[in-house]
Amino acid sequence: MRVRAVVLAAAVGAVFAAVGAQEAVRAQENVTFATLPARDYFEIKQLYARYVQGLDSGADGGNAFANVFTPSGVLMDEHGTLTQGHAELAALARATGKGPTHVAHFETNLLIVPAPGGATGRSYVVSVGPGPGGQPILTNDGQFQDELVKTPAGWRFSKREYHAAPLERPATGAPSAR
Amino acid sequence: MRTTRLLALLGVLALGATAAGAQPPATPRPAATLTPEDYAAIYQLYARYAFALDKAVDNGQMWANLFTRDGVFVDANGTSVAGRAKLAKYVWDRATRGPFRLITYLSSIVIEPAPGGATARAYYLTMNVASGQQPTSLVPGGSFFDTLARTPEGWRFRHKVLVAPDGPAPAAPAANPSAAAPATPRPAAARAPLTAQDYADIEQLSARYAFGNDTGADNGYMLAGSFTPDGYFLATVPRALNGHKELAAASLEASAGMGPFNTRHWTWNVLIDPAPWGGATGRAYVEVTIAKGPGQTGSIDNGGSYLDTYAKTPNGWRFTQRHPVLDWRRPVVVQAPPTPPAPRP
Repeated sequence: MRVRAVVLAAAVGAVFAAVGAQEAVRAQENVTFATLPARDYFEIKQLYARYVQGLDSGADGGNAFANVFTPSGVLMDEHGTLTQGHAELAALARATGKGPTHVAHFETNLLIVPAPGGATGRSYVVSVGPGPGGQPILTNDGQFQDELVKTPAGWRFSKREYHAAPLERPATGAPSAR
Repeated sequence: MRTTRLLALLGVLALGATAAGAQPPATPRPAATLTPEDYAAIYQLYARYAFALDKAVDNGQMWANLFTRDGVFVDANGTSVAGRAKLAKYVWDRATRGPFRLITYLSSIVIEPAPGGATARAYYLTMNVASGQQPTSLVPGGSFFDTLARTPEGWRFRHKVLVAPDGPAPAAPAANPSAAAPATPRPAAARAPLTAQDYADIEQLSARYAFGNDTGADNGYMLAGSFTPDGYFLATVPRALNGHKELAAASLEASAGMGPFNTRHWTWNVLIDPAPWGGATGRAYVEVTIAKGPGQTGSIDNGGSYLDTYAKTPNGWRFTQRHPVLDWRRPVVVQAPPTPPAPRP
């Protein structure tokens, strides 16, 4: 009698577990992705573009770059080093910028999600620099993780964190774009 | 009496002067602005530019038609080409010199409203295509400095200059009478089958796919959830994937051990068209990176495009199909068999 009760309890538990797993899957399948209004999305997309062009050009004494951040905005590099505030950010762009036709950073896969107080963003970025013999090579790539706020002057980064991508496995030889 | 009249006249004049001074100055021209619909259309113009150029679609005419009828393209050597017929010939002549490859990656497009349209600067990334045993690698192609016009055909390039990295900044394009003319009225919204929100949401779906594929987030459901429940990934190698369960499992497998900052699938030039059946179709460039780390240069394993169909579901836009089309891949280095020793005399 006692054994039968234990078996019954186990069976009931298994059924509940299976149902629970199915519900979890269904919940994941039916999730609605939170999206921003198109106006906000395109303004933010412009902000990302201004970041790159401001950094590469150093335009306006670095202010074009610094202005994509809030006044207390912060940029964190892959080593955890922080550049914070308008003056430091402008100085960074003055140091890295090389004029109005310089191109060094290429960013794509912008994923923007509404968040309390603004939005969060993620993107892929690759930088290209001179390699051996002066040939341009891919020198770095990784992801940005961002916090954005909508200020009276428009959308701004309050925080950007750069994370280098991990070392990757060698090619498997599978001829797929997947 | 006369004095009174004079005072009254002076008073009226004074009042008139005061009233005139209080009037606001001549109404300033409203600052040119761009709507979300304009941004969506301009981004689509750039995406279409890449496909039209790299594939020389329709003998180059598709690329030429992205310019105004008097549009001008100036290449990195300073060669200037004007008018659609010459533009089509220009791109066709160059496209036929080698295999067709998708090598124009456009990004970071800063768009500014301007009288009669907009100005823009877009980054241009391209690649050294493999030859022999050299790996394929990304190289900066420069940037485009563009003037755009809103025409009855939609947004078009009026003047487009390609500048090599660190090349001289282009001079402003010559004044064009059409630039001072008022912009063509925007087409009625009813004629646009997809809204700016649709374009934004579908672009986001493309980004979500890449992050989901490379990180395996949400147990693979970040990727799987970007498809309809019966959605397909139509790869032939290793196999097609159908439905959320298979898609999630494949995402987990592909990203195993790579962590949340993996960057393998780089998607560019997302080109979206409304579909007759009510959804949308899309194309996007993709390149897949491999082998980077200390002492290594980054290189590309393979590249091509995605051919997509999307459906607008109650939960938002989703892929119903994604078909990767391989355009090229890194050559496999095959070692020659050892030479047999020469027979002894």
